[in-house]
Amino acid sequence: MKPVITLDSVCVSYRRKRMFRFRGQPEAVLKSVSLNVYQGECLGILGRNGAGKSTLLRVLAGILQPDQGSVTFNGRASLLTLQAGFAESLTGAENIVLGGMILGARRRQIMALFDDIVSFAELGAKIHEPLYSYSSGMRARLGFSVAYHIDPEVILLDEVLGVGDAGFRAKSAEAMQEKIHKGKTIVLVSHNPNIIRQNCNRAILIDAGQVVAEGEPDDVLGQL
Amino acid sequence: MRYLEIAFYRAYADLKTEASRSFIGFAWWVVEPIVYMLAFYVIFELGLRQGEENFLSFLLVGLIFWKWLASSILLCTGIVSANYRLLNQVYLPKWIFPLSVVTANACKAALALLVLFIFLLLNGNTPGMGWWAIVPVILAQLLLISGVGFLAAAVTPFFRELKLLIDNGILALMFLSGVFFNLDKMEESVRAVLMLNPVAILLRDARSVLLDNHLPPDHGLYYVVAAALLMLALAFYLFIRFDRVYPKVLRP
Repeated sequence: MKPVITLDSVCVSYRRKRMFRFRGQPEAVLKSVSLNVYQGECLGILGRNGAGKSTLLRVLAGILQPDQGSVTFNGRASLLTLQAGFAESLTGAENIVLGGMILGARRRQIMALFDDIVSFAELGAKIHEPLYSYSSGMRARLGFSVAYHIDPEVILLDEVLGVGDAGFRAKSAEAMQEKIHKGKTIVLVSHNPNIIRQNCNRAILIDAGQVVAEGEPDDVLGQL
Repeated sequence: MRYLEIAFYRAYADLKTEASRSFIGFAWWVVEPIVYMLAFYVIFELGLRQGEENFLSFLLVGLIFWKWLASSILLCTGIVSANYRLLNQVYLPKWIFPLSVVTANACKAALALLVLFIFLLLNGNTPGMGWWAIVPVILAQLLLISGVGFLAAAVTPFFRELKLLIDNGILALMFLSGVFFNLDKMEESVRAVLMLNPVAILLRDARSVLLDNHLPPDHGLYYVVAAALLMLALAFYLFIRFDRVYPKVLRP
């Protein structure tokens, strides 16, 4: 199988903020992580809080550059971020355009998907009103709908499988499941062993910035 | 291209936010310098009686150009840091943020400049062919704003103290640039030093074109453009060199 993203001995460290901040001791968050993400797989990333999962996702998304090691991309990966860059005074429709562009789509593509995005978000005519008049449920629906329809080659998920009220949560979770089962390349970070077990065909366990286990989800979960 | 679209769309969002925030919206940007101007008019023209002829126009040209420059630079200074959340969620080149600030402020400045021209006409300044020379002055000012603004935006995330420095320094710069007084009346040696400041050159040239119908007296604009391009180049070098380091530095 062809890897879509390859990490080779990736190290990332943060410097502690001090008065003379460039003299602070660097704090290693990822210590020599090597990893392949293959086409069409759903890879689960497990680990405690502070193990380096979020930093790893940000490296996979191309947001952060490793201090050492290399990252090779054979496709565009993007973190499924809800409501990224939304502006309060713009209407829902304008936020679809802005949010979609920020997530990596061109304006033309967004306009082609526009009707689908609006109807999935169940917003109707409200879409032409400014965002500040929206309830948090409406924002969540709009944010999910935009992120869901902008389809990058690799979807990176950080515990967002359902948003909004109960009805919409079921619908959004189901939509994501469908993407996973249709053979979309997905990297999923979760604390919840069941979510990893149900959805992923491979899993890795990170502890203190290192990959300590890799393989079938059930085997890896056994080492938790 | 997509990134340019994002920058301009964000500029549009900023303008819309500002217009919707207060009842008078955009008008505030014109009202503010007028209020300034009235205060200084009272002090200089009525109070101290030191005002020279046409002092009101002199002040207004200075204030409008100054306000455009100062507010753009102040906003640019913190703009990358202000977007740290977004920059940790998606990859975006960082120059998008100062670009949308400069664009939004240029739109507001266009409005203020329009009001300025109307005021000057009503005040009896007759426009000659020389008024066209204001176009290069405005373009040079836009370029200088971009240079300083982009550079400030690129450097501040690494040295947060710089924001304090710029916030305070901009007030000093206002006095050094001759917004309220004519630098030509200063002693020659002092004037030569003050004229190294590109902002002083821009204000002098704008006044010479709009108030006296004269072309800019020397080639100062070339100096302004060169300085601006140098800063812009340095800013882009930093933005590209540290492109994927910014999100880390910006960690709260």
